[in-house]
Amino acid sequence: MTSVQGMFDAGNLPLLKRALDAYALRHRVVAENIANVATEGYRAQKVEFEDLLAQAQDRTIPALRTNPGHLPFPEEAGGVPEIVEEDTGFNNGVNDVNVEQEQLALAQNELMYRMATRLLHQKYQGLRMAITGRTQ
Amino acid sequence: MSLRIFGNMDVSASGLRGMRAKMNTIAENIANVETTRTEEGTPYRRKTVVMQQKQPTEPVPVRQPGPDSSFSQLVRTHQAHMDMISLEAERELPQGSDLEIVEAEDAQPFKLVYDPAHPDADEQGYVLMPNIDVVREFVDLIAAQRAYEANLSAIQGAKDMFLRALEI
Repeated sequence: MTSVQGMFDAGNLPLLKRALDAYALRHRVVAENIANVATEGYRAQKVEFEDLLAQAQDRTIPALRTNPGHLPFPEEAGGVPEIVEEDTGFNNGVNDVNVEQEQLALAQNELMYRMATRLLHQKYQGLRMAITGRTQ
Repeated sequence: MSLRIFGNMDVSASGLRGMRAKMNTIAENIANVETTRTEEGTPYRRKTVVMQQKQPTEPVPVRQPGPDSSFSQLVRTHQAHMDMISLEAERELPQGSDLEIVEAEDAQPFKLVYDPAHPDADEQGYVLMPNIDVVREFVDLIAAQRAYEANLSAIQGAKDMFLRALEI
């Protein structure tokens, strides 16, 4: 990667960007669970992301792409968040949404989002420093 | 991923709306706990709110050519230029599941209370009273309140996340 664009795709920057998307999606899914706490027939949902990401990262076989038309190897396309049924095994009388657990997921997810934004911020600050030569 | 920016909040807002409808109905039930006369001639019947999940609507491309579309036609001098229609087509109708709030009536029988002094009492001195159990209404009220708060904290979280994203 020698292009300027490569600077913004280096290291784990793409990962962080993808993580932000996944956390935003997870927030939405958890909010949907909470909003549907009294909806009959609703099934709690969750976003699976970390496991898929880890799987994608384990596959470190570098694919030699001699032609831009070649399909990328899974590790480049992997880590796409998936919405699956949560299977809480809980019964609140109407459906299987466990509000306490959802609140916990909400809090955790928010902290993860904060962490990702902070890391991104630091990365970009580092780039800015390298570009301008100034520390402030 | 076509996440609408404030889609997260819309979801929680629909939850808030549902819980508020529930609390309103409960308040109505409690207010009418001794209403023996209604327009139908029967005592007041307990109302309930049932929430249904609306099926997520498929994104429908919004395309409005209109009479003066020829006027607003863009001149494309290069193939990379965006064309007008495709811009319009990307504007999708709101996605995501929304709550549908359905009001229903409780079919349980009215309560028979012995109160000969009541103007609506029959010959034996019994009055038909609404099928409302105040204790149950209060329990439901607390549950609805807590669910309302849970939705509020989800909105707070979404707000916080947006603010963090602005700090990147």
